[in-house]
Order: sequence, then structure tokens, then C-alpha cells
Amino acid sequence: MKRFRYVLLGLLLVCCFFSLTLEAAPIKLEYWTIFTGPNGQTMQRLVDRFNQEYKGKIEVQMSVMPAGNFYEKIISAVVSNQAPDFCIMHVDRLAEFTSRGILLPLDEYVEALGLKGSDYAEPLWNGGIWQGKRYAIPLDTHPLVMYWNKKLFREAGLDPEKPPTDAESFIKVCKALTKDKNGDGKIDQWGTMLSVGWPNFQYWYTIFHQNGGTLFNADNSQALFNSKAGVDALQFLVDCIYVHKISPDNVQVDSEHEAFKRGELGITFNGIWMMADYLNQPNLEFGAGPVPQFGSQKAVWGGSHQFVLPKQRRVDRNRINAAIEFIKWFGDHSLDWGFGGQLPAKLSVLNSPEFRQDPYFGRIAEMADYVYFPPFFAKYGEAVGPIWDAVNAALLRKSTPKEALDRAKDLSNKILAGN
Amino acid sequence: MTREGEEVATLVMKEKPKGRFRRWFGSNGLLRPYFYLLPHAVFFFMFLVYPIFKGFYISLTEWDIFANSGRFIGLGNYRLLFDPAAIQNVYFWQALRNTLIFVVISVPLLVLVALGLALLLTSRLSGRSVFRTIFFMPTALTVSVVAVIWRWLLNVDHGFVNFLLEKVGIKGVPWLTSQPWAWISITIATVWWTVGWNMILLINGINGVPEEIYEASKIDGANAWQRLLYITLPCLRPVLLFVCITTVIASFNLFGQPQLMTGGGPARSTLPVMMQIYTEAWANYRMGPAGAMSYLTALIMIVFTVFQSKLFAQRADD
Repeated sequence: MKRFRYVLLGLLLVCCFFSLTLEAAPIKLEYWTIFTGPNGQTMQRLVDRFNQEYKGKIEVQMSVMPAGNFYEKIISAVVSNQAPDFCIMHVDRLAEFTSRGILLPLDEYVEALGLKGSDYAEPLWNGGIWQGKRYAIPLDTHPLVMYWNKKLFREAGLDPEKPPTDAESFIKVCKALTKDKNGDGKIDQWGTMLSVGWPNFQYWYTIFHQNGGTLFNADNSQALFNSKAGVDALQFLVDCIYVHKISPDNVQVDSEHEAFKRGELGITFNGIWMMADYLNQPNLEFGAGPVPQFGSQKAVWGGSHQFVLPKQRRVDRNRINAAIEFIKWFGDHSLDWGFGGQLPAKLSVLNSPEFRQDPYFGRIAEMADYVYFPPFFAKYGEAVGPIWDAVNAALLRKSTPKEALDRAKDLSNKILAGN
Repeated sequence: MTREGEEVATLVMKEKPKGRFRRWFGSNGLLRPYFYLLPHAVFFFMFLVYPIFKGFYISLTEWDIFANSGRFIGLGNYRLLFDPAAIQNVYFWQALRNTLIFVVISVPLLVLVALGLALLLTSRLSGRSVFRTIFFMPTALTVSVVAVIWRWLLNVDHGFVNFLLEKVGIKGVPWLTSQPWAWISITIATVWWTVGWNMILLINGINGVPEEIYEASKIDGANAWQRLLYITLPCLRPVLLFVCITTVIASFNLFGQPQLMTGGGPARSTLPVMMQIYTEAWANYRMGPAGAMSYLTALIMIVFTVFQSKLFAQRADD
């Protein structure tokens, strides 16, 4: 009998021990990202820091996969019930996935954990809403940025601290920067370079929305981008090449980027993500600022990374709350993320003195307020596809801007009409 | 082969009548050859036969990749390809036309250049094996490497080719951003990349032509040109047929070079049909129409192949 009591006591102790360890076992979360470049390392550092701070409670395990087939992976993972607890998604792809019921609506969790819209840059926060429900929480935005070469500005007698701010000053500055340096009758330094291909859609998109254009009608059944706003935007780009002659024709994709790095190009437009590349370039003295206001209002193209939670077959509130805890924590600690080449979504970080006083990022932080996201829908990416071709056709003078956009509108309408 | 196997098996049977099991499964059993074939057959059925039928079934449905099932709609997806109001109609035929353009310009080059090189490298040229290796080497590269190399060489502003052209006073050519240069660039890159393979096949073919025929023709007074025309080429016919068919199929499958060199541009003009099928399936998630495009393209390729075989066979009758 005595022996039995000992056994019982022993069992009790073992139970206590196990219950303690169970209590202490952290919630392990799987987190998928597409950050294969240097910002993947930044993200990993932040995840490590989080795991340190939340030791014993939450442990985030990050997997990085190439963006090329990331979205295909998400689909097959959700279909086979292997989806991560949370992952990254581009804002323009959200509708595609929410409309298929793959993502978890977050409203109840977001409120309970104290995430507020007023803490985030408005367009980015609103970007996570689809048909009245919240599906995503923003990390950042990556807008189109104007980069200019300060050395070439000085050589052309321009003030390197006063980049152009509108169409008129842009053309004037670019004309001053366009010159034949070695006197062989051939221009070897251009004011700007408009590539045939990426990212010229972003140029057009920016000017189009600055002109007050609307891409599609309210129920996304008709394309509207061949409006005056659209044609004027495209005409402006074409004129830069053939009328003002401030950009060469037939610019190959990435040529403008390489010419800028070599210090042979006055002004270039590219994503904020190019900043790191330019900062690492020796002997390149450059400035970064908002894209000039070519049209009647402020707008700029931008993408945005957003956190989303794929639906799981079994809803586990603890895991969901833990994931949102990380997302909340990330927002407060996203300064380093910003310096990696993004504008942080969280206003407290975006407007912090560290970020605002940075000579490169400080100037462009304002764009987070007017980066323009159209109302995205499932077929958005496909339906704007014809515009990409139209911009190229017009820049190559294969057709006039009006013809090119009319044709693109017909194609878009066919896409919108299909199922 | 099978008959021989059976004979051996029956012989074995006569010598040692040791029961049914050994007859089928024994070391000389009737099933033995099939066991050797089994591993390949398993993968062949899993990764080729099954997908072919599954793909065809998908092309007859409104397949939902998220649900991994689809509603049967008969030829609806195929009808889309012929319906002028459908986007698939516009994009598919445009892409197919692009692919056909590539087939028409690349196949003759890939065969003729390979033939020329093969003839050169089987003649009494010093350093033949070195050249053979050099011409064959690009075949070992992956398409991404090939595309990067040619993108650099053909860059408009600071590519090596335009640098050379400008040295001799010719204005730089927009190799990758405008037509017809984009097709020319893709074709040059493809020929450089894959011609070595055809060349090796043809070299083997030429080496297989019996030496006596050449000797006899020389005695009869045939010159080099006549020997090529009346001996080498006719003897090469089976190899040439094989080379032509595989080259046509390879050209139909064009994907990586335009994707990585021109992105299908300028304005979709180098966007091949394979890229369109891929986009339809994996960017637009429309597996049904993508399946229909695949099977229609396959049908066209089969017609091409049959036509080619007929053409070669006809020549043989003449």
C-alpha cells in the first residue's frame, strides 16, 4: 500500500512536470515570405529579435521562397491544408485570393489586439480591405521614386537640391541635362530614359492618376483608361522621346538603371527598392525624391506588402492571435525594414525623426500619403495587361497613344467579360 | 527479342520442368524482360500517360484549381479559342502565329547550319575535334545562362555587338526592343545554343555512310558537289528526318529564350504559344482553356510531324 502511494506521488510529479513544459512550449508559427534579396536578411533579423523577446511564448519560423512561383505555392498549400500561419502578399494580388475564399477575414482579431487604422498610412490600411472586410495588414509601401544625379545637375548649372516638381520644370531640367559630351554629334548623356518595358507602366499609371483618370468603372465591367487622362499621360511619355528629345528611343529594360549607376543619366524613375543598389554604387552622388506632379493632382504608383493569414481547416484562435501579435510587433519595429528600401506602413515609424531626417528616405516618405491603389479585383492584373503592351507600342511609335489605348480597352473589356 | 526470349524459356522448360512459378517468375521466366521494363513503365505512366489523359479531361471542364475539381463542359473551352469575343481567341492565335514565325525561321537555320558544320567537321580539317567540342559546348548550358549572355551582348546602349557595329560606323541596332530585330536576336541565340546537338547527330550520320560508295563514285568521276548531292544527302535521309522532326518540336516548344530575353515583347510580338498557355494556367488560373490551348497546339504539331514524314517518304519514292 505504501509502495502504491509512492507510485501515485511519482505520477503526480510527472504530470506536474509535463503540464509545466506544456505551459512553456511556445506556439510555433510558420511564416512565408518572398524576400530573397537583402531585405530577406533584414526580415530574418527582425524575426530573430521577435523570437528573442517572445521566448517561450511565440516562435516564428520564416521560410523564404522566390516570388516567381510563390502564389502558386500558396494555392497548392491551401488546397492540401499545408498553408503557413501567415504570409506576405502584394496588395494588388489580394482580391484574387480573397475572392476565392482562401484568406481569413481579420476584423474581429484586429480590433481585439488593438490595431487601429489611424496608426497606419491611410491608403495602405485601406488596401487591406476587400468588399468591406479586412483581410490584410500592411507592412510597407514601395512607390515609384525619382532619382537624380547631383553631380550632373551641378555640371549643367542646376541646383542639385532642387529637383523638378512638375512637367514644365522636368522638361526644362532634362533638356539642360541632355548633351553631347565628347562632341561627336551623338548625345551621350540623357536627361532621362524611358524604357520599353518595365517599369514604363508605372510611369503611365502615375501620370494617369495625376490626371484624375479612373481605370475601370464601378463594377469592374468596363475599362475606362482610354480616356483623355490616359491618352494625355501616354502622349506625354511619347513626347519626352520624340518631341522634347530628352530620352532616347528603344531603351532596353534595365538600361536606364545601369546608365544611372554608371553616372551617365540625369534623372531616372524606378522603385524605392533600387535605393540600396544606388547607395552601394561607389562615386554615385544622387538624390531621391517624390515623382514630379505632372498632372493636376498628387498620385504615385506604389506596391505594398501586406500580411495575410491563409485559411486553415481547423481554426485555432491562439495561433491566429499569436500571428497578429507578430504583425503588430513588426509594425512598431519596422524602421530597419524601411531603410531596406520600403516606406514603413506604420505612421509612428514613417514619421519618426530617424526616418524623416534621412537624406534619402526622408524626402520620399510623404508619398505614403498619396500612393494610389485602385479598387483591386480578382482580374485586375490580367485586365491591366493590355495597357503594358499599349505603352510599349506607343513608345515605339507603332501606334498613336489613342489607337494603342483604344485597342487595349477592347482587350480589357474582353477579359472583364470572360469568366 | 520477345520471340527469342520465349524460345529460350521453352528450352529451359524442356530441360527442367520445375513448375509454374519458375516458368513465370524464375531467373529465365517469361516475365523477366518485363521486370526490367517495370521501373521505366511506372514513371512513364505516372508522369506521361496519366497527365496526358488527365490534361485532356481538364480541357473539357471548367476546372477550379482551388477546389481541384471541375464541371464538365464538353468542348466549351475549345469553342472559346474560336470565339472572337473571347480574350483567349485573341491571345492564343497571336501567340501561335508568333510560334509559327519562329518555327519557320529557326528550323531551316538549325538544320542547314548544323549540316554545314557537320560537313566541315567531317572533312579533312585540322583541329576537328576541338571545333566539334566548341560548337557542341553551348548545348550544355541552361536557357537562363544563354539568355543572360545574349542580353548582355545585344544590349542596345552598351552591348558588345553594338559596340563593334559603332566602331565600324553602323548605328546601334535595337536588338531586343523592336521588330524584326527581336526575332533575329532570339533566333541567333537559339541557333548558337542548340545547333551543336543537330550537328553531332549529323556527324554520326555522315560517318555512317560506307566509304566504298564514295570510292566507287570517285572512280566514276563524281566531283565533291555531286558526291554530296547524290551520296551523302540521300544516305543521311533517315537522320535528317529525325533531326527535322525533333527540331520542329523543339521550336514549337519555344519558351525560355523570349521569356528571358524580350519578355514576349515588344508588344507581345515574341510571346510564344507555350508562354501563353502557361500564363493562362498559372497567372489567370484558367486550367480549362489552358488545357484546350495545349491540345490544339499538340494537334498542330502532330500534323506538322506527319506532313514532314510524308514529305521525306515521298522523296524516297522518286
